[in-house]
Amino acid sequence: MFFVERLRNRFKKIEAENKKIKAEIKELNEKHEALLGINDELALDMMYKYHELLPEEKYKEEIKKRMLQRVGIIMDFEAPKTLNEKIQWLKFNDNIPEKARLTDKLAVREWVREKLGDEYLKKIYGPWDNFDEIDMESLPEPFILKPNHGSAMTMIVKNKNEMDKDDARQKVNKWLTTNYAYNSIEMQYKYIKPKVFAEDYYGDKGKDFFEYKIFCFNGKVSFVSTAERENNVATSATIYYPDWEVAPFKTKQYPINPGEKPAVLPELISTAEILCRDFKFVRVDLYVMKDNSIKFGEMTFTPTNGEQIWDPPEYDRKLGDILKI
Amino acid sequence: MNIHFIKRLKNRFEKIEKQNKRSKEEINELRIKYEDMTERYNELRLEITNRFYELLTDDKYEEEIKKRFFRGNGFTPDLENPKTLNEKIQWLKINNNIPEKATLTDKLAVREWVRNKIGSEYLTKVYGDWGNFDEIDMEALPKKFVLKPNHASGMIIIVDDKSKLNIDLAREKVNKWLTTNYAYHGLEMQYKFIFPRIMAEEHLGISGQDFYDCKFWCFNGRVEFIKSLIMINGKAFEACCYDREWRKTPFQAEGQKVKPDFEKPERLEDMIRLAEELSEGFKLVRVDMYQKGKDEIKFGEMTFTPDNGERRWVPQEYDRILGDLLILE
Repeated sequence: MFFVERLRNRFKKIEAENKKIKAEIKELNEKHEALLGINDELALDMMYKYHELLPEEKYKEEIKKRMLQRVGIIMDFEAPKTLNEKIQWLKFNDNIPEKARLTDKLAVREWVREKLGDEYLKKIYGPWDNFDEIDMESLPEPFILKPNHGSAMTMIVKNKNEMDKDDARQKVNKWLTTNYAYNSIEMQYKYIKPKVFAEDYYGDKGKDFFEYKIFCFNGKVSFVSTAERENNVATSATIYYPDWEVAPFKTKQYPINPGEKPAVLPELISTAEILCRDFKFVRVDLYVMKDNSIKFGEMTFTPTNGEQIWDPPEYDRKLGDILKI
Repeated sequence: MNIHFIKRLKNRFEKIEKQNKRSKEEINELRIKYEDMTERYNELRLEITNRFYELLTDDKYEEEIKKRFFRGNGFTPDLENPKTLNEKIQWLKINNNIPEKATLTDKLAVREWVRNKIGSEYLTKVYGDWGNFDEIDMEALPKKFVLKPNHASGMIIIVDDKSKLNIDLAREKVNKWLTTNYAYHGLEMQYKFIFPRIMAEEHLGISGQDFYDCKFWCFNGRVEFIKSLIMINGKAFEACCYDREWRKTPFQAEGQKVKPDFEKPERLEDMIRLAEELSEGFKLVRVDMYQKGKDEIKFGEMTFTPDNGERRWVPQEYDRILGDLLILE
């Protein structure tokens, strides 16, 4: 009996130790994640500051460097051939003031209202110049906050009372002091006066409503890209021709997974073609809501900053050949 | 006593053992992750400095060189009246950056010069040079080779087996090199105007086995000492300094593991003669050569600002003693 007791004690000890190790691993993992985040933040910070200090006459040289690093090609500004090259070239040409105006998520609404009508616009609340000006009382629940002058900055607030105000203030005010133009030299963002505004929260993209990124070349829809998402992270991205035939190319980062043709495809195409008319190249992002109504998303003049790796790679050139500049 | 109970205990024991094994694997993975992260962090720090130097105007270089020197050597260099070897290297960076140094720093351009000066038998094989990674004609390359750019130092991919090369990683690395101006690595301006190319060079085998790196420090055209090295992944692993008669010198480079017993190169006298021929006319240059196999000599590179003048010597007073050997005027 004594023997069993001893064994039991030993197991208990080992078990306790095992638990400790597991907890330690978990902690280490979290620490590593955090450090990884710090590295990424540092890299981003560096690029913002570098681009901000870089004299304008060096932009082309810097873009050439980025193109070699990210796309693997030597960019030719004199005779751009591939789609990525042409997107870079267009950064310096083709109706620049108008592109700058329509990149402002607030100013573009006026223009869309004229072109399409009010029903294509999502309702917005605000705008405000800083976090503390936000009129929380006026906001629905849940809502989504975003600035007018950048990309990939959003905050979803499900419950106003439970929201961490200090954290949110810090985040929003950081957006407002960031000149998104210096993220990767997209100068259409440079002179937008930063504001923050709110929208109703419509649920998950790809589930409760759908986003279609419509690539327009010389006033015509060339192809449409739409992504599947899980937990708000894209898991696949499929490209279709305007007749919803799956295109023979894709982006390098995502697999394809062809899905259903949207019921309002003809309307999507005709809407995009109204908006893209004045530009050699633009990606018009439109949403199809639950009730099949179409809402305007944004006009993106430098999608993926002209650094998209296409698969197969020769499509960068093939697509470039279609775009006449 | 009850057999079932013991069996149950045994099962539990095994389960825990299995978990412990998994934990160990996880810890290993974490360690690798941590190393990657540290490497990325160091790269970032370096890149921040590079970008800062790039944006710096020329008139600030001297001040910045002094700051770097202070951080590395612990005292502000006297560039009016340089005395130690490291101070003199800084003086040369500022006052003696002649165009010829830029040409001879270019690993491709220097080959023509070496061919004319000592002959093509001392050149390594170069299979080709290209403007970006995807231009490299992989088909035409042998199974083993090394990739390095012509415009920088310390950048190398050693390909032991072409078929096992991770193309995506290599492309990223190479294209990153090609967009880096190495002059801004440590304000060594002889690198500034070299037009970047990626070159594939012959694989010399294993450092310290099939070949040795020998670095001939030439002061006013004379070999003063020789540093022999074993390199692993482009970094010095073990080193030792010798005099012209291959006696270990009383000073060594700090921060490198000293291996005292490098074999004397079979053709040391020839190597010294060649190094002195190549160094003729330069106040200071480190001529890097390889001793390949028993009796082959291959030219490596001409280094005009060795270790960027930031290598500390042990004992420390040798920085001054070596400095006295180098005549600037």
